[in-house]
Amino acid sequence: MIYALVFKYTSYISFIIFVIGIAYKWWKWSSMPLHLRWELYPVPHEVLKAEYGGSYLEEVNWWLKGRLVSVFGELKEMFKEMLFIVRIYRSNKRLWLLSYSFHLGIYLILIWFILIFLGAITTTYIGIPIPSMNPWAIFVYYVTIIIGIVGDVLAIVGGLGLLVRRLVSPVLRDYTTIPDYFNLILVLLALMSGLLAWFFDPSFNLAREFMSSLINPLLPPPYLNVITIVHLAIVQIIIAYIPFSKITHFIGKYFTYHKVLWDDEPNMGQLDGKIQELLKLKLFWSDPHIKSGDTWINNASG
Amino acid sequence: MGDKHTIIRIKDISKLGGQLVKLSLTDLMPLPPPYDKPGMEPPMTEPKPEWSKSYVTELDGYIAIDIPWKPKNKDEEGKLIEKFLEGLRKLTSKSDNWTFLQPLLLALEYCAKCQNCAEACPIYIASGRKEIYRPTYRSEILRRLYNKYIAKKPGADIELNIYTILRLGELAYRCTLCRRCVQVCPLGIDNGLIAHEIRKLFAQELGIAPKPLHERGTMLQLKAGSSTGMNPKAFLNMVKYMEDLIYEKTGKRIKIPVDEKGADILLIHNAGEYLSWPENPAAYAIIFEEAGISWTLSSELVGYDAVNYGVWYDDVQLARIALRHVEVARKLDVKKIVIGECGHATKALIVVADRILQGEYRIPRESVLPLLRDIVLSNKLNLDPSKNNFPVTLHDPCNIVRLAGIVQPQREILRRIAPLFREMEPHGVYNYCCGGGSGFAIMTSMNFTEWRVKVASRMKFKQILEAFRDVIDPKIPKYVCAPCSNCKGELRDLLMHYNATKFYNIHYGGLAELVVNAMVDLKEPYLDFLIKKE
Repeated sequence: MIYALVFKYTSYISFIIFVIGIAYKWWKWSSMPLHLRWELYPVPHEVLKAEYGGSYLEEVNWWLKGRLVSVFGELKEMFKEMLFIVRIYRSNKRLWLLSYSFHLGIYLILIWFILIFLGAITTTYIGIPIPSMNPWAIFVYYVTIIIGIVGDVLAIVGGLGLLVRRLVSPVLRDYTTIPDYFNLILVLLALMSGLLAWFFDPSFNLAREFMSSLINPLLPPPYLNVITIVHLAIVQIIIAYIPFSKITHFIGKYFTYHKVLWDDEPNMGQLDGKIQELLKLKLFWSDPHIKSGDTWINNASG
Repeated sequence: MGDKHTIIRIKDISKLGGQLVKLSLTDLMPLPPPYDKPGMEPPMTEPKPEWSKSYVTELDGYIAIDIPWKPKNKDEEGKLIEKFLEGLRKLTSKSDNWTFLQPLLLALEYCAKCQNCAEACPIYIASGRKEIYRPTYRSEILRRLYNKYIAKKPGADIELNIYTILRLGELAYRCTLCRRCVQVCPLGIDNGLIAHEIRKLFAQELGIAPKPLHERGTMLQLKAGSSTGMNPKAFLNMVKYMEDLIYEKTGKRIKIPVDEKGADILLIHNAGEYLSWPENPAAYAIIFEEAGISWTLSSELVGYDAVNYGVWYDDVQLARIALRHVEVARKLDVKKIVIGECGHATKALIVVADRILQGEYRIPRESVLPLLRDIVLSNKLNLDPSKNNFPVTLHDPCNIVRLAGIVQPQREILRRIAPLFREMEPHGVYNYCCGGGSGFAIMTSMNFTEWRVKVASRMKFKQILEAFRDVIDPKIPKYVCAPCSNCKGELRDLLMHYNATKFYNIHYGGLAELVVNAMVDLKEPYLDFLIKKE
């Protein structure tokens, strides 16, 4: 019981670290200075031109014509990439199979978390027990089982495949650093301990009960067996560790695409203020052709 | 896969002495017919032993950085290492490198090293998949150096010695910054950008850059007016020469407008055009005159040379030249600047410098291709496409197409004026670089041209041969249309190296020449190779 109580509170702690860490990461990238334009076509928000990779620069006097930006175009490309990882699919089917299986598995596990959460709300706050004959309860009960197991197995298969691929190929082995292995192995440990824990909790009732204790601070946690405790510990470590690791590449990917490769916003005056501020910064490059210690604007104009 | 080559590993960059890779013809990607037979390709040469005293031959034996920068003793070595680290710190600091800080740090932080990018790189493939040319190779070296010495993160397995720096400096010039690798990256990691940033570190902190880019490039341009060394007087003579050329070729006396205040358009060409391909700026004079456009050239320092080599290796030089271009336009009180057929100049002034130009410096800028498209499609010129009755293929300059999204205008023109136009595969935004990108086309010191034409341009040559496969017969003249000065420079060297003009009647040139060649009232062809044939 004591262990369970400890894990109830460490769950909160790891979740709080996760939220703060992710918010910090987001803030870190979004507060970086405006950079010079460095877009790469196709840019999916170019209305009528995205299909072949064109831009507004194809028009004479483009600055007089108003720039149409399709948010839908960007979202479509983003979801295509998120849900299907098309860039790898197009060029490397074998890698795609592993990477896609791994990522799809993780997406399903995230959905499983939501289902467990919904299940916990249903039992704790709505008062409908799961399992029961209530249609919603039946739905949540079975879908949670299917999504959880399929997700976990897919992620394990894909993750192991990716790990083996890194170990077997001499080139990949050379490029893979210890932190890279550490990330992958940590995730795999969470996935595999999850599978073991499931053997002792085949319909995820224990998981739902534990979640219920999390969403209602007054509710004591259920009795946890050893394997579940091990699994919970690993999951909590991962959740707290994610913001400080390359696993946050989902944030990186947002910025590389939306804020660099697709950022073709021309300066029509709206960026003047920001640019003026940046041009006032001093630069300290040492080669004599640069006036070291002087501002960018003085360097550019002199 | 059974790789029979010894795999060059990341840590080999720091190997004490010796050449990391030796290229041989048999390793390179095979060329299609008729270049698939032995003896069709000139052999590879060895670097001269004396070069290695002053220049870096320890990478692949080729020399891009043609200033003697090798340290002579331990003391100089130590200083170079120290300054390199100082430069790396500045490269990742806001005040010194706000211009590319976010893209650079994203690229350093998030690469998953999946190697999906390698197969998109024409240099890696053409070299026979040599590890040192893999897009991630130089990136991973910089990443590990950054993680180990600046970010102090764990797990960065790399040694920093003098050879790491020497080889990395050269390696920054084995990528044409075409950024094709970025298109296939699931995380949007920009290995081209990393090569660009390494070049900046060497140039801005250590003063190390190829002479054609820096000393005889941006420095000369800012001092003498043009990286060709052409001063305003020589430029005015050139204008006269073009007027005579136009008269000779068309029988028309055209007064080319220079320094005309209040004209609508300031047209700036790459000054290399005037020296190597004057028929291109002359063609624009003919077309603009015929179409009744209000335009002018400038004879002011820098105002007659659109090039901005800063975009390849030095942000400060980039900003300086961009500002000069805009100042010239402001003095002339024109409505807009139009950049001629020059890829990097288009990208530099229209795209990259856009966030340096603010307030009164924010003058509208555009590429000449949409304007040319509008003129051709408006039927203001009396054109007869049958005059261009020979196979034409289009080379997409990376800086205009993949990096600025100007894809269709040049095609709409060709469809109108070249009945035998055929695309290369792949084309448009997925094109392959000519091999001369990022300054390579003008870098001819020592043995670098050999590397360019054999490795960097190999994929382009393959594409050209495949595009003309059915008309390879030397009796049929063929035209590779490349609306970019540097691409033309590269094609010139490429076609010469393989003797493709002589053996297979393959020619190259710009787009405007082809338009003028189709003009009905010209008695003689505008394109020289058509005259010779008759």
